[in-house]
Amino acid sequence: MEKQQKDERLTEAMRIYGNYLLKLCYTYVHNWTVAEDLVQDTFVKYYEKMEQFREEAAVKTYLYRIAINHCHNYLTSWRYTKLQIIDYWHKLISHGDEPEVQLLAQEADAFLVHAIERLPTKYKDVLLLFHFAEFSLKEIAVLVRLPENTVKTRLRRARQMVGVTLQEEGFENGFDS
Amino acid sequence: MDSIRKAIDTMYSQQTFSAEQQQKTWQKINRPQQNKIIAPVTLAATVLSCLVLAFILFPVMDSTSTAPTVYAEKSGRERDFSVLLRPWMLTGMISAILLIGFMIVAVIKKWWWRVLLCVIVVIAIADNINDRIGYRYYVTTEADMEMALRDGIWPIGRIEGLHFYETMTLQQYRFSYLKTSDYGPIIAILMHDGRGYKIETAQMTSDETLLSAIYIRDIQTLLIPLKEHANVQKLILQNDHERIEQLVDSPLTAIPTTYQSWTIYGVDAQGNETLLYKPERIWTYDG
Repeated sequence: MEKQQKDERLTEAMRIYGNYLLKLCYTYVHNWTVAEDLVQDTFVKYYEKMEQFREEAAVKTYLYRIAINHCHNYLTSWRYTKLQIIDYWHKLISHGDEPEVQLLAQEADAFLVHAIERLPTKYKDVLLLFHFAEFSLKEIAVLVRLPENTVKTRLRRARQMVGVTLQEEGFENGFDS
Repeated sequence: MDSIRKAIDTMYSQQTFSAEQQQKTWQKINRPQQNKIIAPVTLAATVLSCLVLAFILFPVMDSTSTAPTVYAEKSGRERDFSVLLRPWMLTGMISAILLIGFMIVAVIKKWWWRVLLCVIVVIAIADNINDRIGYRYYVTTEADMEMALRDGIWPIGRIEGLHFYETMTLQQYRFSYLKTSDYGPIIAILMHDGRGYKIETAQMTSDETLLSAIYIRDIQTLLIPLKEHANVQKLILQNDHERIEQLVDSPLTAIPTTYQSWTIYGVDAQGNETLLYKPERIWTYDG
C-alpha cells in the first residue's frame, strides 16, 4: 500500500471514528488529556497495521478493540495508579465532591453517564460496545474474545448495575420514574 | 437513538478529536522510531550477568574423594545446601520463583521498570541466600584441618604454630585434639555424613584450664583430653555406680561408658592422684 493511500485512509478513520473513540476512552480514564493520548496511540497502531485491513467493518472493530486495550493497559499502569493516589489524597484534603461532578449530577444524562463511568471495566466494555459503538453481540464476542452467552450475561448485568446505580439516585432502570 | 449513546454524546458534546489532535497523531507516526533492540539486549545482558554471577557465587564442588572404605574419606569443601530447608530460606526461594514468574509476564507486557525491579530483588534474594549457605568442610589430613580452621564454620583467621596432639576415629566420629599459638586447646568433632568426615563443631578454649571432657551420647563414649604438660600414666573415673581405671597412651583417651557424670583423676608415674575434671566439666555432645 502506498504512503499516500495510507495517509488518506488514516485521515478518513480519524474523521469518522475520532470523536467516538475519544468519548469511549474518556468513560474509562476520566481524563480528556489521557483519552486524547490513547486515541492518538490507537490511530498510530492502526496506521502501522493498515495493510491487514480490507473491509471498513474490520477497521471499526480493530479501532475499538485497540482503544479498549489501550484503556485497560492504562488503568493497570503505574502512571494511573499514581494519579489515583494523588487524586485520593486531594479528595481527603478537600473533604468533598468535585464541583464538576456536582454540576453534572443535576441532569438525567449526567446520572446515566456517571453510572457508566463507575461500572467495572468488564461490564463497561460490553455496555459501551453494544450501546455506544453499536456492535452486535456476535461482533462483541469476537472483539472481546468471549463466548456470546458471556457477553449477553455481562450486558444484562451491566444494564442492571446502571439501573441499580440510578435507582440509588432516584431513578429506575436507567430512566426517570 | 440509544439512550446510553445519546447520554454520552450529550455529556461529552464539547469534546472532539480535533484537528490539533489529528496533527499530534501524525507527529507520532512521523516521529523517528526508537531503537527497539536496546531493551531486549539490555535484558538479555542482565539475565546473562545474573547467571554468570550465580555460577561464580555457587561453586558446587571443591573436593576430592579417596578410595571407598567402610567410612569413605573425602577432602575439601562443598556448599552446604541443607540450610535451604530452613523456613526463611524456603520463603526466600518461593518469593524469588514467583518474582521470576512475574518478571516473565512483565517482559511479555514490556513493563521494563518492573522487570528491572524484579531483577534487582531476585539478585538481592539470591545473594542473601548465597551468604547463608556456607560451606561443609571435609577433613582427612592435617592440611584439611588447617583450612577448615582458617575458613571453616568457626574461622579463626590467621593460624600460626598449629600443633596436633591426636586425631582419633571412633565409628562415624572423628576427633582432633590440637592447638595453635594464638588459641588454647581445640577439640574438633567431625561426623561422617556418608561421603566423608565433616566438621560438626569444635570446643575452643583460650586457656587449657578451661578444657572439658566430652561425652558423646550417640556412641556412649567419654572423651578425655589431657593437658599439655600433665604427666599422667593412668586415668581413674569415679562415680556413685562405678569406678574405671584406664592406662593412658595418648593425649586423647576414649572410654566407652553409659554414664555421663564422672569425676576424673589422673595418676602420674609416682602414683600421685590429681583431679582432672569434675562432673560439671564434662560437656555432653548430642550430635
